[in-house]
Amino acid sequence: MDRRPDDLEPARAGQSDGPALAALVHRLTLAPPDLFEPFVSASALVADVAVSLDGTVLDRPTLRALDADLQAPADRASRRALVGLVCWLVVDPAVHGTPGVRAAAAGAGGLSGWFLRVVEGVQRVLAGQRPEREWVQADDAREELARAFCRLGGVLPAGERAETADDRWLAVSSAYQRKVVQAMAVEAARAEELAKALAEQRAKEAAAQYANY
Amino acid sequence: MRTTEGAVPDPALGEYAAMGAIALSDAERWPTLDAAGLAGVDAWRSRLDAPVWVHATGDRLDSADLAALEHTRTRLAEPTEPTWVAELVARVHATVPRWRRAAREGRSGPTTPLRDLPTTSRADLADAAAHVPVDVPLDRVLEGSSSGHTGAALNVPLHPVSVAADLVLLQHLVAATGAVWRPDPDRLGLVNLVDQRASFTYVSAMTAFGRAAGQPAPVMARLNLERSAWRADGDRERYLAAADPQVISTSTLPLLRLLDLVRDGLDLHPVAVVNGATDLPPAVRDAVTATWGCPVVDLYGLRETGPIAASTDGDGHVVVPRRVWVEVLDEQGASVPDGQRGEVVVTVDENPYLPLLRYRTGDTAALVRDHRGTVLIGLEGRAPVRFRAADGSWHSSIDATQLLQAYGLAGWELVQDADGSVRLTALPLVGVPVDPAAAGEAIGRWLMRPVQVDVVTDPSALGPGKPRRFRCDAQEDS
Repeated sequence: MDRRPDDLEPARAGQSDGPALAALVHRLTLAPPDLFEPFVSASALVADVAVSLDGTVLDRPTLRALDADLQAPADRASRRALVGLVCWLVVDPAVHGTPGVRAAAAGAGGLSGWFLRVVEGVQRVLAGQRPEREWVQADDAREELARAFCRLGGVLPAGERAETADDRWLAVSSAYQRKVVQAMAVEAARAEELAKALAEQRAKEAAAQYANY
Repeated sequence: MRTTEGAVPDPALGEYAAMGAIALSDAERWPTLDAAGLAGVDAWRSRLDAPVWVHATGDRLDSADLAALEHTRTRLAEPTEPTWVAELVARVHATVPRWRRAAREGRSGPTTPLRDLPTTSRADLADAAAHVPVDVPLDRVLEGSSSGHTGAALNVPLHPVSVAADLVLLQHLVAATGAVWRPDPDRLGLVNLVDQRASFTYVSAMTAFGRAAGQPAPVMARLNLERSAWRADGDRERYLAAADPQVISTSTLPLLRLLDLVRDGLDLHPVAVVNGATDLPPAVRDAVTATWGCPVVDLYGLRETGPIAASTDGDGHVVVPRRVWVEVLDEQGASVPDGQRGEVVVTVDENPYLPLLRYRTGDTAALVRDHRGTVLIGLEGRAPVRFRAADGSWHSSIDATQLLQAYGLAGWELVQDADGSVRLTALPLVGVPVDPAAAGEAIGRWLMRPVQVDVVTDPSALGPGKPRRFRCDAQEDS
């Protein structure tokens, strides 16, 4: 994915035949509560999942980078929970076995390479956007995480066209919606400012006209 | 094939030894050429009077190469958008509320080709704020108003620089006619002339006028020919005579009024006359030429867009050298081929407060590209009005414009009532042998209906501001 999915401009990309969105959303409702507990090491979880996916043992630089992300000063709990949930989604064969994920993984140097990309991306895009448990408890949050998972993994939810997936992602993306609200606030303030500027006498005096229209 | 018998002029020129560098067959030289084609080459190769061929060579093009070249040919024939158009599309999607919204909703984006974007209409601009970039400081904004012939007046946000750019353009266009417009402290550099009941009038210095260093800025005035705008009888004529404006920038009806004053003895020596806002009938252009012998620049533009095109000879309006890109579209918004009439749609990036993508002018013309550049032919102000002939067929006001111009009318109003009856208010040019009744008869033949003709001699009889030249109240089923 060459664009951040929370950019105002929709990105259209992705392998078709990814996991079914309903399956991802449903699996999130079944996520073990342990994932939100501070004693669970997200790094260790990622390392275990990588081994289980394709036998990859993560090397030290990869693990260090992973730790650096997870120990980021902001949103530490949020990052840990999101990474745990991504692990929970990925280990499901109904997810990592889909033709779309297989194709995307082939372009990412294997399943674990593909998985690490999603782990990195989910923190970048979703960390701090919602309270941790909301990702499994609220309908719209589950859909947001499921769609972010697909976008970051470069796959389209099963049966969806790229345009549809884009539209629906923008509809559920908290970051995007926040940007929209901000953009609209800027525009509304500007409209007021313009009306005021035009109403001022100095604007009304206009400037000498040289031609007729 | 004959080959050389002679040697090369110098041993160092060995590669010029006749047929010394031959490697290919004819089929390899011209991979797509058929027998007839090869025969054509051979006929010229093998003539007895042919020179000593030193080499054999072809164009080496296979069918894929020819397809690529065909593509190049199409590209050359197509008008290419200037690069600023794509840059503008990208910029407005980040800065202009209307296009930001389109980007948010996925309808278009910074890389959408211009031709795939929706058009913008005058009605859209009623929400001015939606079209003003959010990142331009508003401290220089001016309120420009556009009367328009249809619908409500618009408030157009203008910038002093884009307003004064009109002056720079006028200097350029006047100079291009060969006329000399240099500051003359004894004259007004320009008058902007109107003729209406109420109007802003003022005097201003043209500090943007291009001139030699140290020369004072010429002065301009906006004047209203309407009698009530002056303190006393004769003031108007005395002021104009004293000012003897170098450039008279006006529109058709005030121009006709001014020509009346000249006929009555007002002595003016304009360097050039600029017409705007309204069509300039050939009869009026000719009258200006006959009266003053100076060039006439007919400037086409809208308040919302600024100048779009100009005609200095009455033979089409040449798109002016500004950031303005002109398309001609059909009613469905599809591009029409060059040479066919459609609506003039402009993309313009001159006014920082109002960059416009694909703005529908409501005017029609055919577009041609020739040595002058992009030219609008048969520019017709506003969307044409349709008139209903006695046999039920509909005819465009464009036909009527041609007819009424051909009969030498300087101004007119053609109205068809709901019952189908037709009235022509005709303004002939004083001193020119014109028969308004004959113009009425021509309209009568065109619509197969009797036409009531009213002749007026006072331009103001056609109403204030831009005249509504055509109106039809007849309905589809009448």
